[in-house]
Amino acid sequence: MRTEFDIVIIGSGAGGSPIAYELARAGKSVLVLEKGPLLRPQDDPPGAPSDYKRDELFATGPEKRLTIDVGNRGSSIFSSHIEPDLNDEPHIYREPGGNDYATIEGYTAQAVGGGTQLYGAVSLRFTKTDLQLKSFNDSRTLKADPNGEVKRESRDWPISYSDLEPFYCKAEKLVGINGQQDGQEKRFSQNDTYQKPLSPNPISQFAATGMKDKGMKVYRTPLAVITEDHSSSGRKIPRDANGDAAPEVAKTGFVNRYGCPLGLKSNTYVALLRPLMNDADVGNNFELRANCVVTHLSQQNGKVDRVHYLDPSGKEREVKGKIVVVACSAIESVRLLLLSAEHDAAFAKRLHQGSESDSIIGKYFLTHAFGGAEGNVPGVFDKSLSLDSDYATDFCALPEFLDEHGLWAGAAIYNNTSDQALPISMGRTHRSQDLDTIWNSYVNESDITGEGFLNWLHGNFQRGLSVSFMANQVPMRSNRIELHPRVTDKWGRRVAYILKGWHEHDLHLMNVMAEQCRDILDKGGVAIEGHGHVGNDARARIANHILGGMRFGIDPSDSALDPNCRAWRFDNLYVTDGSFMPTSGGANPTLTIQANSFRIASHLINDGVV
Amino acid sequence: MRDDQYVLNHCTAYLARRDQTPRHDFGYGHYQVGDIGARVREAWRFPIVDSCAVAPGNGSVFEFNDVTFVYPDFEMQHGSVSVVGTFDRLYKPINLNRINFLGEPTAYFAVTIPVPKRSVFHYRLIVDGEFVVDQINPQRDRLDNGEVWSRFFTWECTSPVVLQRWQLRILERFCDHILPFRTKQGERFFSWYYKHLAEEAKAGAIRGSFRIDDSAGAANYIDKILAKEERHHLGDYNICLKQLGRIIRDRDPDFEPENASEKTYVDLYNEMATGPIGEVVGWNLSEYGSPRHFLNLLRRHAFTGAFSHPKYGGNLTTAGWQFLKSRFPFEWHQSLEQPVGTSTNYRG
Repeated sequence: MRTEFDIVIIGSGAGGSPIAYELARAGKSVLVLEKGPLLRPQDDPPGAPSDYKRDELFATGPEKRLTIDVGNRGSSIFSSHIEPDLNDEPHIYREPGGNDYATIEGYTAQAVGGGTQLYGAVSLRFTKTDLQLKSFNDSRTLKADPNGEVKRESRDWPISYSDLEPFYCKAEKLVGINGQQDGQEKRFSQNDTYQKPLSPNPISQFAATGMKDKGMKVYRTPLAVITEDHSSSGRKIPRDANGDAAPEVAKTGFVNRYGCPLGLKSNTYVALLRPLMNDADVGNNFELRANCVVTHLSQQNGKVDRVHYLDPSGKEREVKGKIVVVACSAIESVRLLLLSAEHDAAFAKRLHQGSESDSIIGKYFLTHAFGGAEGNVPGVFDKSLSLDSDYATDFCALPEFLDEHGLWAGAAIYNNTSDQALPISMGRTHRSQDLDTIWNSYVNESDITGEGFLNWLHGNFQRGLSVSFMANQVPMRSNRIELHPRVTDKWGRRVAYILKGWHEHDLHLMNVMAEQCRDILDKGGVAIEGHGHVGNDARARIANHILGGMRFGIDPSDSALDPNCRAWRFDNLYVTDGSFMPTSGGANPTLTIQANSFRIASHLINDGVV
Repeated sequence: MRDDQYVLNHCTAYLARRDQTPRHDFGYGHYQVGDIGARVREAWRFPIVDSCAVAPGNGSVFEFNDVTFVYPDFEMQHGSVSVVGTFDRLYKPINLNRINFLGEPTAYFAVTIPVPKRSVFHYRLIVDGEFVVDQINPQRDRLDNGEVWSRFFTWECTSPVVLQRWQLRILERFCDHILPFRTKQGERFFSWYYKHLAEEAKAGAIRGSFRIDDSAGAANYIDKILAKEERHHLGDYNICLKQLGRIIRDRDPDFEPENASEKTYVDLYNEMATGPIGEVVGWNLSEYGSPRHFLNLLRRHAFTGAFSHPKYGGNLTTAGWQFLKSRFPFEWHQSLEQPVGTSTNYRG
């Protein structure tokens, strides 16, 4: 068993896989350690059925009960087949009343491919302004910021959109994304980065009409689903009886929260890692070890010299890498580094750059300011034949819009096509705000029976349409990730503790954006059922876009990572999941995490780091 | 056959751990003190029942499940493990093989066997010559000879596993009320649908289709989920169905509870749904504190059973989905594997 590599990467999702792909193809020896299983699409190996199924009970499994000693002990929990079990490895957050609760929110999938296995695959770029929010706001007047905190806490990224743009192009091509450049408020240096979008589901036209009626430029939402043969990953579109490519078969409704049995959704396993495993030129230079949980790192004189992990039997093992990349999602990456610091005072001193009390590690944890509107369209449409979204607009990221509303940052807005497209998903998410409260409303509305059930179906099934916004959250030092003082996981390691709230300006921004979403549906002819945002959720929802906590920057006293995502006081430790972000961007983050990882890979190769 | 990676993928997250406390005992009394199943995650997953990769003989993969038996040996102290069961000749043990990781032996013994669908089986493991029940799988039955054997069932099983016939019949009556199939539209659809199925079965176009009940198999689904994934709720059902049976008999003494009037069931449903805990005349609250709680549980199970994949035992012959398709644009079959659906790409 090989124990030394040029590069060891912890986590196989959006932050880790691009680096593995580039380094292994550059002739470096690469090991990827992944906590979760290697669940494979069908015919991998040839003839095998898929480990991922088109089965609603895979997305939200049977009920379990929380047994750990926290405020919501005894409550029902539901999770997908590749989300962690909260009784084994919970995330704990403090709710406004001061009680500690366990939550499934804030977790991405634990499987090879990470969050890209279950995500809806919306793959938007951030705008130029998203990366320069301090400069952008220096001379602007903002609403709902009486103490000037928004301006004070805003940060520019240490890289510009121009720096990142070539890697957006690379990510879009290598991951395999369909979409439309025309209509986006972002510069594209290449015109061939997207595959052709599939035909939109007709229900989405109501959203497109509403956007256009409001004077918004509209484009087809970029989605990480291949619609043409994808040469770099070797993936082929299924053929019909005549032997012609049949890309429309990707539209199933089993997209968001489902792994793709056909490998059409561009998760990082089928797009990047499997091609490495099948590349004769890479050969033994690439190794993927699934079902291996990294417990801690150790260092000597500022160089991480060992990665300690437990193999599938729970046996302790260690491996060495000249470079070590941590990319196991923002919360878990911070947790791993804090756990490593517990093992070694010298590690702790370097990680915290001094005293733990002043440390920036785990601070400025971010999610997205998120919300939208929903309603019912006149008529019914088969939403089960859809991808996750069809139309998007950058209108609410334009400077004129931000000036009009006194906002510090903008948002992407897009329609959700596949939500509640299948019957059980409609029941379990009926009036639900998050993954912790699914089924609650349906089971409590006991008049949904018989004729009442039929009426409920006729009022909702295949008629619901929602529009969402995804916006930057104001960075706040008090929003942070720590180790929980008491709760431990099944290995006896302290679990992540999340403390998070919203700034007054976040609430103002979300109110504005939710109104925009409502207006879009209203102008589109949709009967509004409701509109709102996560800021109204008393439990300070964590959501699944987990970012920040290890932000990069140019000033070691104000950041955890240098501009190349290297931990400041370590020679060879890089952190490349969403935790590097100083601000959370006005769009879903996965593509930006992937693009940044391609950028880091380029630095490691071209600057002779390894 | 399944490779070693498959076994590790379906074992590690559930079985590997350092903490040996009963983290997964939800406090419903469904585990005995010291039961290993309470220490591991989702013990119900074992043995692993999955789609069939290669059917035996010239059989169709759609008629079989791959069943993977697993024996964890974290102390690395056992030399041989085999399995005997009613899925094969009982005198013929089948060896479990030590699973490797990067060429080195792991803690897991495993073997995958194709087993017919729609059936209940019993098995025991032979560990270094000693016959034992599966220490992980919580499903066990005491057989006629007094011995306890481990149990599993395969997909689309319609044989009652943990509920008795009278319990299933009462459940069917409640599911009839909860679900939309006993409405005028529902009855019109099901009358046509089952007639259509019967004609197809007679013509040999489909195999073994028959009328399960008017709840589209939801009661059968509940039996299966109580045997397996939500075994912790079996006690809720046993207690509450007993109470409901008694109350129904008191209110409608001329009939067996399952044949009581629709009004009796509707009144009971409404009483269970009243107030925060339910207000059911005759309910023994000291035995079960909230009939409303049970109703909510039943509502979730009935919904899921009516509209989940038929492999779980409900929605048999896809009746629930077909009903939705009769009322809404819902071409579900295009996405699903044959013979359940019509996809020529996805194999399930």
